Amino acid sequence: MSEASLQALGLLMSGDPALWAVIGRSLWVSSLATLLAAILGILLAFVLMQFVGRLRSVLTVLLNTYVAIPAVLVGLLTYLLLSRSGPLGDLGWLFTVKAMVLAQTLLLIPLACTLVHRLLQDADETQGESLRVMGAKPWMRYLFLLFHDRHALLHMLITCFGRGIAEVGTVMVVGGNIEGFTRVMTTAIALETTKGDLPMALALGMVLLLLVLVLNLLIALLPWWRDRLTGALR
Amino acid sequence: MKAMQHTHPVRDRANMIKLSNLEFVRDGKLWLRVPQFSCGPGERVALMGPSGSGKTSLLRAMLGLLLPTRGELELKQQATMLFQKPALLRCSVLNNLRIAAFLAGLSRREGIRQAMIWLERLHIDELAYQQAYRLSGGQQQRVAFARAMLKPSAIVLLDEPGANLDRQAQDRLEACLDRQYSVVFSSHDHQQVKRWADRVYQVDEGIVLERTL
Repeated sequence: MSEASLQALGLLMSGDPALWAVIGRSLWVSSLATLLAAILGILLAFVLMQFVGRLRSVLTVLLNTYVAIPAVLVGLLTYLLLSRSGPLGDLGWLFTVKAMVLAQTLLLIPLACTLVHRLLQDADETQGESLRVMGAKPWMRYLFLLFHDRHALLHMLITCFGRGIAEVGTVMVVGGNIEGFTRVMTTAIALETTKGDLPMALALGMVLLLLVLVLNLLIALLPWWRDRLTGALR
Repeated sequence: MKAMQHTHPVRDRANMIKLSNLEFVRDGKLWLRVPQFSCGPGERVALMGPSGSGKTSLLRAMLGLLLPTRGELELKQQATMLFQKPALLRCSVLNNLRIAAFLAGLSRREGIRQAMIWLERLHIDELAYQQAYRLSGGQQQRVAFARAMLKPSAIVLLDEPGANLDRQAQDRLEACLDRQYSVVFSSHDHQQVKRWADRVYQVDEGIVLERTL
């Protein structure tokens, strides 16, 4: 194992305050952004379900385009919103954690909406008519569909969180990567690598890798957990 | 096309369901025609025909789930339906029924009470707290029936009600549907139709016609 890697492990084990502050800030920003994006994504998915035929197809294409927008572009758009001359300039959020949460939320909303919309469409095919016959109005029907496929909701949360924690574009642009204030794992890795401080970059990289691994493991375990709790169809 | 009409409880002997000159067109092709169809109060009407002939589509049209291209469709009262595939939600049997009771406007207590009554009638009350997805096909079908019956309806539509049920379970289901209900059911089971139906419609080569039992 290289010396840098050993030093990185040492940093992690020693509980270096600066390191763990960066990790904590990353988790906080991405968790909050995921929660906000999930709520707004679910509401948008409900609205999208109201449209039918060609209009829904067009909106879905626009949504998928939004999903594919580079993170740094979302960061730029958020920067323009929050800059002094921007419509939300008076909030004074630029180069703060709030700006980073806002930017990541805007980044994650289309992903959350797409995943929830897909969940609703699939569940509606099997459960929709029964719920309609029982008298469920559209939004009530969507809520019951979400309840039916609540494990897929977890999948959405995990996926959004994974996207958020691993991105650098938005948080770098609107946060400014200020030490002790807006620095998160991904921006710190970018900075430390350019500085040549590899142990720090590696330590953060290890944590990020471990997080991504845990998230993917959770996603892989979800079907097993769902079947265990609710019983698979025979 | 005259839209589905729901009126106040019927005091005369008018048909509960009446279809006139209904036509279904798909991809420019007429695939099902219903010159005349009716079901009176307390009547049991069977729909017979090969798989894919349109029996399920006709039942769905009666509920407004499928719109015919032209024709008149009239339902005098609220209807409920048992689908061929149970489509239960991923939760316990009792919660599946409680959701139906909630949507029917029943209070929490009354919903649970009525749910248990229906489960007892169908001899599946011991399954109340089991996960619906763990049940056998026949058990799920009976749960789905209990769920459908929680909606206050004078008209009951059944899509292949005997498909997953043994004879005993079928008898219990039929026993639940006394003459206060008007029933339309699709079936391949000639014995069941002979035993239970008052009248029969045959779906044959895209046309629905009444035939003698």
